[in-house]
Amino acid sequence: MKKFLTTVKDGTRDYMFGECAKIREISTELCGFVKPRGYAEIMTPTFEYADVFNIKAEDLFKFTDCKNRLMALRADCTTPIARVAATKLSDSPPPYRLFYCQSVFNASRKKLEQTDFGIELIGVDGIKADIEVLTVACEVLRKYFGEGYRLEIGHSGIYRRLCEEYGIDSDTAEEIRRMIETKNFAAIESLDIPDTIKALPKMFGGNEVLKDFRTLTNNKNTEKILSYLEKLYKTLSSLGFTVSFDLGLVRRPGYYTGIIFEGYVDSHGVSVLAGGRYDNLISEYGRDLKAIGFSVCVDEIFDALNQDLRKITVPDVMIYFTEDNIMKAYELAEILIRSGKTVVFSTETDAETARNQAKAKGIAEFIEVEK
Amino acid sequence: MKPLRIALTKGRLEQKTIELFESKNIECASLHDKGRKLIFSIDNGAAEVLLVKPADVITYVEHGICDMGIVGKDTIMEHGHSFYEIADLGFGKCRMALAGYPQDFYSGYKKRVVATKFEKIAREYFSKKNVDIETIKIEGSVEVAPILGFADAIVDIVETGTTLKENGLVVLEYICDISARLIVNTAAMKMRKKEVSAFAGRLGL
Repeated sequence: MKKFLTTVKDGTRDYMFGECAKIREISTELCGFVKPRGYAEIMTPTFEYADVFNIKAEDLFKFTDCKNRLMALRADCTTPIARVAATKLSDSPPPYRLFYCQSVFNASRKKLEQTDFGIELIGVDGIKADIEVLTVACEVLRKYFGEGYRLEIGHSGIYRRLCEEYGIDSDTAEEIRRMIETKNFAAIESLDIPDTIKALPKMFGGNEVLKDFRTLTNNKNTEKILSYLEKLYKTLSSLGFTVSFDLGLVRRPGYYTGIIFEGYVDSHGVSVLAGGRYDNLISEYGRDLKAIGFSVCVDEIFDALNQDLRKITVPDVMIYFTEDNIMKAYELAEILIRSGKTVVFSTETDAETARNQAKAKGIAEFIEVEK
Repeated sequence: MKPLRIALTKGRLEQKTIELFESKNIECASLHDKGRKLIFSIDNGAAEVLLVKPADVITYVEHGICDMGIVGKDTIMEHGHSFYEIADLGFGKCRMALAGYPQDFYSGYKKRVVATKFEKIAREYFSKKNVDIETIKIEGSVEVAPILGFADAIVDIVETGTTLKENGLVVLEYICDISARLIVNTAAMKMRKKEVSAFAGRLGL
């Protein structure tokens, strides 16, 4: 009879053998990619006071500490890093280039636990900063998917400005936002709202959407945003990156203030990368710093690469010894390991069984230590 | 080029979908002689079709196993999460309604019990009205619950209203209109925009 539960919760998983190696390899490569670009690593606690997170309470995994204060598992990396930037970096002048690679626990995601890698460029705004972060995002996708990636850019100001311009109250704005987010063309068509807003969800594709949308609006602020996006497009294209636009990108985390972007790759049903500019978030932790960043889900990259890595690794050598020559066996193992081989000791008590076991496991070399 | 893969709802919407496709000159011969096959090639090999249960259409599309799907709005409201809902196909029309004995559902302070297959839809509807309800999940023939005094009312799809009438029940309130929708995986919409819009275009959307 089983005494303990033997299943894992939906949304969590075991990684096995080659999978572990691959996950670590991706993480290491990503970190190694941004370090020479001047980014420095931050690790934040696995759990913090729940109030640190700018995230809906229902999406946090919560518990209380011994004094009954409400704690939460790290549900996102940008907010704790905003806390660090606001409180711990005041003795050196911005900009700060930071990166992280750590697990996050968020109930709103399909993967309840996942490893997020990301960068934040804090304390600076303007096109150079935006281009820098967008470039790193493209490079990361290209590294794993060649030209089979697409970085899609939108701007959080477009929908916000339109709502202001037409005096749409916040409840209605949220309702329409959801329809735009799901590209629910039918529902939007049936609403009594300006055509400019109705057109938003259809405004995705190459840079032609910028021109298309320009014909629909004469709002000066929107005009400015469109010119800015056009400029980003030109610069990134000249650097050889594949970018597209979705002016109907109206993602929720309310903290975005400027460009927002998503990364997609071939034959993978969900976005693997997301980011944007958030100029007001850090001031909510007490220091006025503009910032932009993105995160990429390491597990999602792993899934998209779709490799079968569950094979158990076979050691190169098995060493069999009798108890009285254990010294010799351990010395031999040490020499072999130093020469780059993987070595296991047989735990059997007779040489013949050990030899058969080595054969069964597919271990190429079997050494019986002589006296 | 990989064929577009489309998840279709088995049963109620199936025939209408095939009619729509054929009226737009999308070849569907394999769907008339299904046998025990699960995946069908249509449009002379340009698309692939899966016939699955309503909630599964959403699962396949959300995970990107299928690029697009055709499914009822009721299923979207009950099981939907993240995908694009790009068109109302206009067939499979019916309404989601609150039904029960002809009396005021809201009178009194007693906690009301609603029997339904659509627990999420019922909960969201009443939460918007600031009314507390208890839902009981019933898979089929929900009408029987109020008759036996198991529930105060039901939330269900109403097409003609005949079943309600024959059991002495009436529609108390309409919750929303239901019809078949075309849904698209978010990544497919971006990565395969040309093919997806070409297909939607052929359906006259």
